[in-house]
Amino acid sequence: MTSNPAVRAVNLARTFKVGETKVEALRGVDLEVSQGQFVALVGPSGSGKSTFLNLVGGLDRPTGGELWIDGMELGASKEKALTEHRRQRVGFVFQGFNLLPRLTALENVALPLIFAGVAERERLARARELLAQVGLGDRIDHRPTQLSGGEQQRVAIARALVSRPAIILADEPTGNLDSATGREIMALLRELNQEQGVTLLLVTHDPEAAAFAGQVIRMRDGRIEDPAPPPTAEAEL
Amino acid sequence: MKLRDLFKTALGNLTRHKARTALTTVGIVVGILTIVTMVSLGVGVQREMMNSFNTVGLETLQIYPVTERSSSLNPFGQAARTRLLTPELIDQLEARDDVATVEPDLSLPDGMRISLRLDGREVRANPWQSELASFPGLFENGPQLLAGVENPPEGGLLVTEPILESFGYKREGLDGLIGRPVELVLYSPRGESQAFPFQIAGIFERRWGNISLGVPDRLKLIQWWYNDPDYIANYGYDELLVRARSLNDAVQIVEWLSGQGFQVESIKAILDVINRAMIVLQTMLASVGTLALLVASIGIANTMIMAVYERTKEIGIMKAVGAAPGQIRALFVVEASMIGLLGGIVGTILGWLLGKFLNWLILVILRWQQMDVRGTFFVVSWWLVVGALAFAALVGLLAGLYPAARAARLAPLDALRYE
Repeated sequence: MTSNPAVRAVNLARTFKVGETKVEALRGVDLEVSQGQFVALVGPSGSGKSTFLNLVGGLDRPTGGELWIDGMELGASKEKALTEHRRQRVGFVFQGFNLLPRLTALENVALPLIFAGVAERERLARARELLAQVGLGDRIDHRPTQLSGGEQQRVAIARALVSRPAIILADEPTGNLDSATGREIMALLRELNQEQGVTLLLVTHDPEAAAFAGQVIRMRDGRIEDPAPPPTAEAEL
Repeated sequence: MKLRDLFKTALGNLTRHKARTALTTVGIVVGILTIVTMVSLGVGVQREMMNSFNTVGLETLQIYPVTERSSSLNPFGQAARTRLLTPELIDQLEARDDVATVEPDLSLPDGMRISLRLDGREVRANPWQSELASFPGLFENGPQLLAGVENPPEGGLLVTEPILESFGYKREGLDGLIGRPVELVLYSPRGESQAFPFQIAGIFERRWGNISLGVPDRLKLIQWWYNDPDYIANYGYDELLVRARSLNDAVQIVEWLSGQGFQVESIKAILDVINRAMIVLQTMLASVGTLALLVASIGIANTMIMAVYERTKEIGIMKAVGAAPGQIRALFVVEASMIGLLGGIVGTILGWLLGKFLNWLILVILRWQQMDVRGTFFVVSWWLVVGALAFAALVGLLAGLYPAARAARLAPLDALRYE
């Protein structure tokens, strides 16, 4: 298991068709992320970093190249395998939290387990445990509208962890938060990475958030700018 | 995804927009209400009719003599009989293996004036034609026997209560009248009269004063009336009532008699016609309900498509956390089926109540019209309930297929970005 990298992209491409014109969001990305790494993808808007994250998360399919996640190639996978991938192996944390407003924090966290066919009692026990872990043990019955932005993002992080995925994908997790709350969220993510060994792939254009990562990779125009940045890159930011 | 979670989630989604769910079910309620009411009416009426006919017996045949077409030169004269119901025919029929019984019937001529003489007093009495061959009125109860026997032996006479009342007898003393000699006096238009000795054999409850005789006694009266001792040889019986051993035998006998040129009516044939008419009626009425359901299904489809639009982002989130397209599809199909089932439940209950009310109303109106009718005309059987609910759920399911397919097809990323 440890022999496989968590993520390995080989000449990965994603082209969108907008009307007649083709937009090349990714133009041959080569990247390897080892298990347990905390990597931040940074770059200007339109650099392709979110597209890359969505491909890794199985929300989208590449149009060229190969994308290996823990030994499975996603581009050629069937829809069923892709669903399995989203359900079991990755957890998403979005900028806009993406919680279901009519469900309580507890139900939101337990939601992925419904689709995995886990029994209700076990679902709720696991969700309760994770909410306590992210510091929301006393707010489990609150609905998203009754929670602050930071609290909502903590619920989202708990939801991302509930299926015990190998990789957490965070797309601008601090984008909707003030800087103090953003720092708290980033600290929580780093803690998960360090204490539980979860591979973390962060997309952000917030240098302060990227500073929490162990490795920062810059993207521009659908390519990796410096595939092997020196460790000092972190200090630059 | 566990089935329980599927239904729980679907139910939760439906209760989110209670008013919309309720309004969407109205169409289904109307459709199922119509179908349940109409089908239960059909079933009830058919059952009542079958009961009425069964007392007569489906294997019963009526045979009539063949008559000449009435001539335009003699429009009022009785048509001459060209083929008679003779005692020989009765023998032939009785000799057949497939025939159980043969009963000849004779009607007393219209215009026969009859009186009864008892205790030295004379009271006018109209003959009540034998009920033997005629069907009991649908849903009506036959006359009630108060004393004596139902079928008079030779020399025995059946009377109804009002006749005895006009002789001054009350209901309490009726039993003592059985076996009492009584004279039946027949008056011819020529002014002649003849007294025939009889005994009272049975007394019936009826509104009107009537008498009834067995066929041999009726023949005696007819022979005197027409002054024709060979009446049967010349004219034959008016009707033969043949009971076949089974329904199949009845069909064979009808074939045989028709081949002989006789006019035959079988109760089964009549019942078949009525049944067919009932099926046509039921189909027509059920179609009205089906049409209502069709319209309702469009309503459900519309509601579900709206729901897909509203919940696009939610669908995206569900897909992102691992919902399979099939699970999303199942969720929407179950929701649509639940709308159908809910409408079906309400519609079935309302249809059942409406049937109860209409049944009550019909009986009240008939009683008001002085018809003595009892019966259940709306029968909601268990298969109708199960069928109606299943049909309602199926309509919902079918209406949900397209919206559900749309929801399942949504690309997760596009759905997530939908605001």
